[in-house]
Amino acid sequence: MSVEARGGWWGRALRVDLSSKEVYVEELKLDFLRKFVGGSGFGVKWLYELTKPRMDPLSPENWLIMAAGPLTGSRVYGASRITITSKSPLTGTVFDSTCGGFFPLFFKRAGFDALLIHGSSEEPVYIHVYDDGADVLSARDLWGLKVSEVIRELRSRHGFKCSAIAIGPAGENLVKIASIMGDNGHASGRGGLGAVMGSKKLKAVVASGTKRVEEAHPEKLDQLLENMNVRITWNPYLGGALKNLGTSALLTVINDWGLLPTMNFSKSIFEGAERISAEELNSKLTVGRRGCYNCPIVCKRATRTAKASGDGPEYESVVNLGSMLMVDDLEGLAEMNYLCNELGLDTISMGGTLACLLELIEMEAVRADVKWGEVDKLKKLIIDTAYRRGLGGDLAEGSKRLATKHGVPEVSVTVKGLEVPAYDPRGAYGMALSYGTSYRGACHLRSWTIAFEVIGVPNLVDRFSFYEKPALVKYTQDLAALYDCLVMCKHFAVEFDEEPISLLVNAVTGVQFSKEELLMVGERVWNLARMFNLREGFTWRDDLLPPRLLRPLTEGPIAGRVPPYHDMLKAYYEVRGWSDEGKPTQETLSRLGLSGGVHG
Amino acid sequence: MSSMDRAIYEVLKEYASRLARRGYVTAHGGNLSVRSGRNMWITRHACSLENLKPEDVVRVPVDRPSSRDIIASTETPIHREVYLKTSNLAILHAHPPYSVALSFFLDELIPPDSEGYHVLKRIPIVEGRPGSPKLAREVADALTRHWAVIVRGHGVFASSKFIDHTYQILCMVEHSAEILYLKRLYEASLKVKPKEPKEF
Ligand code: SF4
Repeated sequence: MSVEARGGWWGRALRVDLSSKEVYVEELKLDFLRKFVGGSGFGVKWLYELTKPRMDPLSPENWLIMAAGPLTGSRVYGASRITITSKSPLTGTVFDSTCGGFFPLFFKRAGFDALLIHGSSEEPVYIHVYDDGADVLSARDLWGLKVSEVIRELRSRHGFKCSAIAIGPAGENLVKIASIMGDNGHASGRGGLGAVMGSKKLKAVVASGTKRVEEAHPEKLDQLLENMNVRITWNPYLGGALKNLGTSALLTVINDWGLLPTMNFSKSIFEGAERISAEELNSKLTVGRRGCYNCPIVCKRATRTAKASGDGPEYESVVNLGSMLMVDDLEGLAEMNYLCNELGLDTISMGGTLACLLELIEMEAVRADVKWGEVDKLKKLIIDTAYRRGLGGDLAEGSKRLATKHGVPEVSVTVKGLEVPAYDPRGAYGMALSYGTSYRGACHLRSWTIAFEVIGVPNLVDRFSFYEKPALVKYTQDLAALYDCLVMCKHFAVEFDEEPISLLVNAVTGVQFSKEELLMVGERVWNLARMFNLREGFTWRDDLLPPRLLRPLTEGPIAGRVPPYHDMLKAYYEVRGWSDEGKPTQETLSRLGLSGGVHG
Repeated sequence: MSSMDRAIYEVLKEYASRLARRGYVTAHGGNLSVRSGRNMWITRHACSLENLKPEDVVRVPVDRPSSRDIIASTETPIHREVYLKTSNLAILHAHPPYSVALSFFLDELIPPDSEGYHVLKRIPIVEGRPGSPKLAREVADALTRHWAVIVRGHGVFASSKFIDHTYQILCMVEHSAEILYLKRLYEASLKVKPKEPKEF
C-alpha cells in the first residue's frame, strides 16, 4: 500500500478516459485520504476540482466518479457500498448516490479505492475492473438490453465471482430520471446518473477483484464486530422491523401518523395503505430475503406476482408507485417496480412525475386517457418514459420540467428539481429542513430525522417542535455525509453514531481518527457540495420548499400543521456557519480546511 | 383515532402517570399495555410515561409481530408472550427502586408483610437481556404462576386481568421490597433479630 495507513484503503484510483479508451492509475496521498476519507468525499472533491461551472451534465466533460470507502470490503457490517458522484442532468447540482449489493466488494477487491470516468465513447462500451487493472470493452451487443439481461450476460462472460452495475434503456435514452442499477435491485437510483452513463455510451461496469482488503487491527475489529452484532440485534429498528419485515415496515405507522404522501401530496393518509403494507408484501409476494454482502439484517425482499418476479418494492417505491398514484393493488405495484428496475428508472422520481402528470390531466392542463390508480396504463407510461415515446418523452424530463412546460409549475413537488420522497414534511418538521437544504435536492438519505421524530431511535424528538430541528438536521446531515464517505449503509446510523464508527475506522485503517475529526469530514464534504452548487448559480431560494408543502392539510392527524420554514432555514444557516444568504463564511471554510478557495 | 383507541389511551395515560408519580419509572423508562381480543395497545418506544400522548400508544396484534412494532416498546415481545401464555389482559412494567435493588441479592422475593405475603406469596427473580426472546419466555412462564416477576437489575412485570388490579400488584411488590429492605437494614445495623409475627 502506498499510504501510511495499514488497512482499509489501497491508496490508488483508476482513471478511464472513454474518448481515448486510456486507463491510468494514480496514487492517493494519506493527507487526502484523511481529509476526504472516500466515497462522497472523493466524489465531491474531485467533481469540484475537475469540472467547470455550468458544464452540460450530459456532455463528455462531465465526470462519473465511483468511489469505495476505507470500510468497503472489510468485515464491518453494512459496508458493502460504493458512492457514484456526478453533476446531475435532473437537478444541475452535484449529485452523489450510493449503491449496495456485491459490486462494491468486487470493485474494492480489485485494489482500487475509486474509478474516475471521463469523456465519452463513440460506440457502446463497458468497463471491466480486475486485480490491478481495467479494460474498456465493446458493449455493442449489450446496448438495448434490460438491466437483469445485461448483468446476467456480464456474469456469464466474467465468471460467477463478479458483480456489475448497469443502465437499462432509460439511461441509454438519456432519461433524466434514469438510475444506475446493481445486482438484486440495488441502485444508485436518483438524480439521473443513469443518463450520465448513457451520454458516455457506458452500458456497465463489471468488477471481479479478488484481493483481500487489509485490516490494521483484526483482533480489535473482532471485538468491535461482536459488539456491533449485539447492538444490531437489540436495536428495535435494525434487529426488529427492518430485519423481520423489510423497509416497507414503516408504511403503516407513517400512514397512522398522517405522513404518507398520497395523491401528489394533496393528502397524507391513504385508505389503501393496509393493502400495500409490509405484512401484505411479506405474506403474499415474498419468496426470499436478499441483502448486501456481509449484512446481518438482510432487509431486501425477492418477490413474485402471478405474472412476474423481481426485487422489492422497497418502502420508497411502495409509496411513490402506490399511495402517490392511488394504487392499492400490491401485485400491480410490484410489477411497476420491476419495470422501473429493469428499464433503469428511479422509482421515486418516476412515481412523483407520474403523480404530477395525473394531476395535470385532472386539471385539464394535459389531455391523456389515464387516471389515478389505473395500473395497466401507468405501466405503459413507465415503459414509454424509458424509451421517450409519446407522453413518455415529457415524463423523461422529470416533474419540474413537465409541470413547467404545461404552465403549472406548482404541481411539481420537488426541491432543486428532485422529486420529494416518501414522508410529508408537514408531519415531521425536521424533514422539511432536510428536504430543503440537501445539496442534491429533496432527499431523505441526507438527513433522516424520521428516526428521531417517528421511530424514536436513538432518541425521541417531538415531530412538531422546530427550535431544535436546525441543529438536529445539521448533525444528521454531517453524520450521513460521513457514512457516504466510508461508505456505509445509512440504516446503521440509527444505532452507530460517530463514536462507534471512529473505533471501526481506526481498527480497519490503523489511522487514529477522533470522533470529532470524522464528523468534521462529513461537515467538510457538506460544505464543499454547497460550494459546488453556489458556483453553479444556486442560491438560498433553491432551499425553499414547494408551496404545496407549506400549505396546511385540512384533514387527518397533521391537519392545520405547517413548519415555520423560513425561521427554521434562517436558524439552520446560522448553525451551519453560513451567511443569511446561505453561503459558508470564510471562517467556516477555514475551520474546515477549505479556505483559499476550496482547494485545501 | 377510534373511540376504542381513545378510551384505551386515556386508561394507559392514567396508570402511566400514576407509575411516574410514584417514582417507579425514570424519565423514559417503563411500559404498559392492555389486551382486547386479538390486539394489544402498548406504549411506544422511548416515550415518557409522565406525560403520555395519544401517539405514544400503538395497537399491535397479539399473535405475531407487525409493522407497527417499529415504534412499539422494545419490550413488546415480552408483552406478546405473556398474552399468548396467559389469559391476562393488562401488563405493567416499571423500575421501582427497592425491588430492583433487592434483586441483586435474592433469587426470589418472599414478602415479609402480611398483605404481600397473602396476596403475592412469592415473586420470582429471573434474568435476561431486555427485549430478548429468552427473557420473554422466562417472564411469561413466571407470570403463568405468579402475579409478578422481577428481572434482576432491571424492573418488575406485573400482570392480571384488570389494569387496576395489575397496578395494585405492582405497588404491593414494591411495598414488600421496601419493607424487606428496611427490615434487613435494621437487623444488620442494630444487630438484632426481628420478631417474626406468629401468624399473619
Ligand atoms: S440493511 Fe439492507 S441495504 Fe443496508 S447493508 Fe443491510 S441489506 Fe444492504
